[in-house]
Amino acid sequence: MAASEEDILRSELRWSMVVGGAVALIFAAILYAGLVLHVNPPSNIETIDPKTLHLSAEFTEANLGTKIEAGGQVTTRIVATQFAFDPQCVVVPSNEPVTLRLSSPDVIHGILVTGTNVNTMVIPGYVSQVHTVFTKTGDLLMPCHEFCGFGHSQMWATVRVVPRENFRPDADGRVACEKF
Amino acid sequence: MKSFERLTLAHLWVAFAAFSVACFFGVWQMWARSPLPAPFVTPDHYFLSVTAHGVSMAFVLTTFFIMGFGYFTAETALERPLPGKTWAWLCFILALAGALMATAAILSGRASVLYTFYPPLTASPIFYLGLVLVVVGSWIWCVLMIVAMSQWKRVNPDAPVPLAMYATVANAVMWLWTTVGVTAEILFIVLPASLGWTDTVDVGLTRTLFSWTLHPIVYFWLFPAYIAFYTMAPQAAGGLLYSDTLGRLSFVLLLLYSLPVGMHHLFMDPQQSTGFKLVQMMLTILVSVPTLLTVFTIAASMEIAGRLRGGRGLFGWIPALPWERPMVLATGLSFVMLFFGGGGGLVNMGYGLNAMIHNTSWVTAHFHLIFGGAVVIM
Repeated sequence: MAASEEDILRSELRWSMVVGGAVALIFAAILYAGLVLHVNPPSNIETIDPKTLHLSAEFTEANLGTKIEAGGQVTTRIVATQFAFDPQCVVVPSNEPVTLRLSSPDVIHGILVTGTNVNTMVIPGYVSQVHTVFTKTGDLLMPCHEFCGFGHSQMWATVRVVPRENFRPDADGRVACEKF
Repeated sequence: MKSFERLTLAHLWVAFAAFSVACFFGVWQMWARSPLPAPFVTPDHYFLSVTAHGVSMAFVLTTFFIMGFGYFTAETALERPLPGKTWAWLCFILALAGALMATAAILSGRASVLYTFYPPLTASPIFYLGLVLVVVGSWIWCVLMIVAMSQWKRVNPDAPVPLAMYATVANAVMWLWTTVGVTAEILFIVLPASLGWTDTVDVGLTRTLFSWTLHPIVYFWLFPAYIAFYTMAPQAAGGLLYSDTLGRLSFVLLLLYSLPVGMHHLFMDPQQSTGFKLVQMMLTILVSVPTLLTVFTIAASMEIAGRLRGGRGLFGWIPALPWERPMVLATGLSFVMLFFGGGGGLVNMGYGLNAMIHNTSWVTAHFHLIFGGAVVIM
């Protein structure tokens, strides 16, 4: 039972090495995920004037929803506003890179798409951007996940993931939920 | 009753009053969210309730309890009268007035912005002013703690500061630094907007300033629990503290690492770069170190107590502990919940996994485990 000062110090050093090893392992795992697997947070320092969002070239009513860009990239644009998403439903192809771009004209909102890695805050004054690949087809729920006022719990949208072969854009390169 | 005991008790009464209010709202919220039919459920009642629950738990209960506990520690650990008792009462009245102002604003339904404010949502200016008064009151407390320690040091230049006071002053220093964020947010951005002086709010900046405070505030709450771990639990169990040095090291690390660490609340925000988030993530991992050292030291201290009471074998010392003593039972239960809460924290910390859990009930569960499980229970 008589533990000497040296015994105590030795046991503490051993434990410190265990702690140091665990921390180093977690560091390494995160660096590997970030640098090699490109698992990175949705940082996107791109500002936009929230007061004229609906007049901006990108977030006008006619430009919202899913569109195939000139380079073939699928981009979905959504406005998050108290207390609805515009549009309420978006279509995306499965197993293909999709870019979601969102902004808010009023207060802070946030989204996640259930069962996927999509999760970002939507901050007025900024354009939020998330790159992802949807692997499962079907209707996914996309609720607002940041308190935005008394109507917060009614604020949600649908992400409709369809097989690549059914994902057919119209002449303008656009795809809307009504077709499915 | 001695005058410092009156001072301490006054703080504790306010803290426990806030706790009762918060519990009442918390129970109603669970009821409202359950399948059972609950009365008064409307969105404005619900969010008023969430605001009242958060503000009274996170700001009023904690600040008053910590101030009261600090006065008690200063007088008992340093074994000399607390300096500046008039200031202490002034700071009590200031903080109490602030808490009552914030409560009035919340109950009137004009401050349902939750305890994290979410600008550009705006509440009544009375709400923000009340919270600023609570913070300013706590700054006076911080200065009193530092003064008490330096006076003791002048009389005892060669002796080390007692561990409990050492930790209390570390907490005061940390709090002085970290509350600058939320105070700047309220005074320079949110309050002017709430008063109608300005018509725009830089939301990226308010979120950054608030996060400066938002994580260290948890360590502000945790410090008294850790002080109880180190200075009360081993004696209560009938043993002794395994290592005073490792305790001091833990408190210094907790102070140093918590200074810059709050931005990990913004991993899913657009306005901060990936590189900055990476640095914040690294710092967040390091904050787990003082907690892991504490778990080791306290478990070792408890093992000594258990073995002194005749416990044998690898785990025999655990049933040998005097579990009927509240401080021992609280430490044991607190370690169980700290295990789940801290483990959850390791999940939140990596931004890959953070994308899975950000703004879900997982996070609510994480901070309730830490808050209820470690802070309140101790």
